[in-house]
Amino acid sequence: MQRRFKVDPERLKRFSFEPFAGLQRRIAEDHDLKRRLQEDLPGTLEEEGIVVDDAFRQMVSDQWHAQIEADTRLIMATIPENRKPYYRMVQSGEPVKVRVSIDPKTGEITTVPREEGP
Amino acid sequence: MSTGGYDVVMEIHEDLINTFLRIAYCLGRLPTFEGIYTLPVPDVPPDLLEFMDIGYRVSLAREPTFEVTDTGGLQITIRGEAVITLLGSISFDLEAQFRIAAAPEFDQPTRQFRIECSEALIEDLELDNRYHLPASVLAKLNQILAIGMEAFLTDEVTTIELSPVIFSADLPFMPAGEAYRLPIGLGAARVFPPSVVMGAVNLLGYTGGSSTAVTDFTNGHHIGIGINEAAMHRVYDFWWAHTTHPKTMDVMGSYEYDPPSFVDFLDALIDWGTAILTGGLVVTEVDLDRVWIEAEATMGFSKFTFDLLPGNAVSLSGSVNLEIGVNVYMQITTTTNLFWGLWEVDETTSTVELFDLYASGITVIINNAEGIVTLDSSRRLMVTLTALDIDIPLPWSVPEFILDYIVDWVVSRIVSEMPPIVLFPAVIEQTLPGTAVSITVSGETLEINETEALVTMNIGTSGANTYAPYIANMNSGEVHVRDCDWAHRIAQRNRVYYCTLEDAIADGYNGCYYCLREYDTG
Repeated sequence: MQRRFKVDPERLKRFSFEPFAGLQRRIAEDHDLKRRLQEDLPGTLEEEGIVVDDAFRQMVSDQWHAQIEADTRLIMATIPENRKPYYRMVQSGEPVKVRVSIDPKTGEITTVPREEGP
Repeated sequence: MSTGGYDVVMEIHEDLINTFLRIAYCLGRLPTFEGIYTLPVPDVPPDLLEFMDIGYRVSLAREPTFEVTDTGGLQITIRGEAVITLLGSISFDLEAQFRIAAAPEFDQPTRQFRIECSEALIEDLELDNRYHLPASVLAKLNQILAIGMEAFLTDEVTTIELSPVIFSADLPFMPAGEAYRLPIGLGAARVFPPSVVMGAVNLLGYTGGSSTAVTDFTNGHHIGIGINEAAMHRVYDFWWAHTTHPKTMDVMGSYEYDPPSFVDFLDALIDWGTAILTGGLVVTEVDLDRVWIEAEATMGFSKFTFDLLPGNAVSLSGSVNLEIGVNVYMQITTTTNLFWGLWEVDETTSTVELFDLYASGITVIINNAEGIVTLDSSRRLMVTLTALDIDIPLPWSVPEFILDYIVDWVVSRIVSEMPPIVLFPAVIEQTLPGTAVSITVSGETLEINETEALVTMNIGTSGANTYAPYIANMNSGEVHVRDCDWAHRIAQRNRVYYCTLEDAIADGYNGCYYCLREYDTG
């Protein structure tokens, strides 16, 4: 599938993982810090006193997943209702309801959301 | 209700009975009988005792014919050849035609139609009168013959199998053993003039039904089989309680997404991957290599409830207990530029787990399910699902493209892994028991009303080439028994099949030196 994307640093600012957020603020002013991070990210983090252990990774993962959930809600809010029937059912606390048709000759299955009635 | 409240009603046309009588005759299932009748003369001197014996040997000259009478009785007409031996060595050849009154029966162990012979009447007697016996002696001979043949026909050949096995006692996916075959209880038998015989049975201990309420539903077919809805429920309950078919399955699935699927999330995916890999601390370019989903689940199916509706429709409902885990991944390649694009210094391909979802104890409800009753390839009565409502309580607020896959995957697995809904075992077994005769079915119809399923069909059999005991060679002029090595070598185009050796010899064939030496005239 490969598609190349250039990352927009401004977009990444919302991922303010502490203590990375402090480093991000300093990079704007300290070019040497930026160069050291690019040359050796793990080593530079250690020099800056950031210990990358399991607890650190769990903390970052939790913050990261929280941001994903927030991003998902925001993006889903921009999608028209008719394109997100299952999401709406889940958000409303209802089971996902579908009507399934099975072709008796071919066995082909067709599934459509069931949004009216029981 | 055509089944009269019985679980299973089987109706068979007299034409089909006669077909199987012809096969039985050809296979020698209607045997020869012989014996000695001693004249009841008192005080016979010992040296004359042997002259009081009258020997007889009777065999069928032609296949019997079966008939339903206009008055609702059954009769079989048999023409037999008899050899009577008097005074130790004087033989008389004769032919006798018998009419035998009979009653229909359904044999539980074999699940075949039979008839029970009750009395025999000699209609015609032809004696080869080479010895010019007085008429009074002939009359006595007839009396002796009548006594002997009646005794034989009512005591020794009291039942004759008339049909293929109407239905199997074996359901699919069941353990071996008698306890897992359908127990069958006799219901009733009845005759529908002018041509149909009926037998009714009940299953699994049920004892209801009324023979006067049963109707003829064969519509001119060879066989009709009616199955009451109550029997279907009993059979399905019995099957569900004992089946070896899995009711809980572990399933897995995966799917590679194409970009249009997640176009709304494209920028977010790049952000998420880059953020977790770099903390946003370095400038990178990113190749989005793959986005995919992996799922696994354990599904536990409950027994369905069902109800027959008019017009071959079935309504069903059930549930599935679900434990499910889903993971969504992306693979990205990040390129970190040193000196802001002058050259690449670090390219790393990483797999990032975006979503790790798990839920257990989910009850998926199946409701408003519709199906049709069908005969599968083995002629078992089954329900084929055509539509259903499925409610899946999922606890995850994840992007719609992920929910789309999860829902479609769960639905497809439920439909494909669902245990079958078995309503009745196979009807009309494929071969005639103990023979090489195969049974073919044509003109099959299946009519479902609200309370029963009625199956009618015509029955054909494989030809005489599969069962005739004698094979003649048109080329050599010899006749062989079926198992003779020389019989196997006869080209198909030169074969003539015979049910009796007498017919083959009457057509001019000579007995084989090896297998029919006593009939080899050189």
